[in-house]
Amino acid sequence: MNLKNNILIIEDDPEINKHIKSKLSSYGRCFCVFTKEEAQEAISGNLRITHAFIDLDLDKKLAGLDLIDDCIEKNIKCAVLSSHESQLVVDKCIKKGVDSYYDKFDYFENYHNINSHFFEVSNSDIVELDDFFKYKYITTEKNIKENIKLILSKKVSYDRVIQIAGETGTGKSKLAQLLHEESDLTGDFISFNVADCTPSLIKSKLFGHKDGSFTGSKGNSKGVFELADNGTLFLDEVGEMSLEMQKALLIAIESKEIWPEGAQKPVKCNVRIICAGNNILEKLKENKFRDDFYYRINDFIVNIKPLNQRVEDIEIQACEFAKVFSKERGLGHMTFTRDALEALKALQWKGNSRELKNEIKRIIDNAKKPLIDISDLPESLFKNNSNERFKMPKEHIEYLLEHGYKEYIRSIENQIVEHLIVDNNQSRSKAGQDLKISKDIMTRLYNNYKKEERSLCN
Amino acid sequence: MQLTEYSKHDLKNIYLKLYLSEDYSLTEENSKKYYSILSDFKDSKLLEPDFRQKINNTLMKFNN
Repeated sequence: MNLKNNILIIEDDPEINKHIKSKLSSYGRCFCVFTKEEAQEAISGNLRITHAFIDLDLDKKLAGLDLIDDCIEKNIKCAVLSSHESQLVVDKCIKKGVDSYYDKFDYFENYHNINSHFFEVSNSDIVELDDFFKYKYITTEKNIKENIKLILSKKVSYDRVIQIAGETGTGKSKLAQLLHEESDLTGDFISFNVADCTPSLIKSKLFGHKDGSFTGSKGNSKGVFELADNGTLFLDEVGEMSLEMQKALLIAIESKEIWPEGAQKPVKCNVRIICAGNNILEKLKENKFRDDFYYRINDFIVNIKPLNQRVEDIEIQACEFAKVFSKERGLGHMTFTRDALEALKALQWKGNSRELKNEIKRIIDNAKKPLIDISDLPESLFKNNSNERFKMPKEHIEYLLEHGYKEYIRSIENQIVEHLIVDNNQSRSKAGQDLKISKDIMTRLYNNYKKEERSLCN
Repeated sequence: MQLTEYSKHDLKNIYLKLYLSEDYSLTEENSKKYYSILSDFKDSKLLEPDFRQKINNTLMKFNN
């Protein structure tokens, strides 16, 4: 039994609950509850639940759906067991962030594989790259190499597939390259995007072909596997691979040999595989992804957070991109004011570093002076990129650009004081609590407001 | 016996309990009860064909 796992079993039928417990008892300490209220108490209590198996049909009214939110909030890895087959319900569960969805029949027929998969994935080595991009992104300074070594020091042998997880534009390919450069491998770094290749040609691109092996093939050609021999092969968009190709790739990884198309004998290839892909779990559920291939690529996961969850990196990268692009254009050193950087940090950057890089390039191309202020930032940047939670009305953007950042902030602060304290007669202490700021700061805002009011009267 | 959405859910649980009864023994009373309920629904067109098949397989196994 894995004593690190505290597994909560939420099922209202006592006999079924007992059965589920019998299937899970070797994976950790099991706690059985039978109602939504009991489950909520267990989740928020002192049991330190790590995993949950939730009966979706709890209390015969899909009460399990609410419990998914409670689990996600507490970072509990959860699986849903259900007799419900409606796609709407399945989609709801996936959107809520549930890790796995199992039909109850399937679960009991295949519980060995399902449990192995569920707990194996959760026991994978996962490295969060919070610190990696705190340092310079596009340079290769010593501190980046130190962080790479930190990852590699987790004893990632070359046999293990490394999966880099992250949104598009976060730098997965760049990281894969740096991992290769810091390794002892003597071969090349080869990058291959599965989505860029016609499905009928993938096998040939991966494993190569012999002359005349298919219509249109001329001469012998090495595939990316052979090109990356004794080096690293980065496979991007691995989720786009067909089931057949996943099988072929799995065999190649495990046997360390490949069969070029039309070849009479295999070719030995020793390649470290790094891969990346989107929506792999959803594809697994839709049976578009093989179980065995899934386990193979979930062994060591490096997670890169979206750029808007690493706001300090926005500043570091924006300054670095400005430096590089201004030098390329022979413009001398260009950088941003504090106000401009704060404005950039507040944006969403759905395209992550790639989008940031493109926008900084555009800003540098149009900049009239070496110190770029907020008023030099294009309006389109705020229109297209604003954090949807704080969508600024157009008149705010116009005021901001006309009067500048300091004047805009002063105006907002005065309006807050006016609304909370003057119009609604709240105390400074209560207003501070509502705004989640200290009483001292609230007092300062109030005094500034009163000072301005007096100067207007005079 | 009418089959409502909730009854379908109960039926699936009943099927599972009989299906899993090899893992630990059911009481004779429960075994008979579940067997009887499943027998009533084994040919019901209101159930999905593969669920009907599962019920029939389990009933047959139980008979043997």
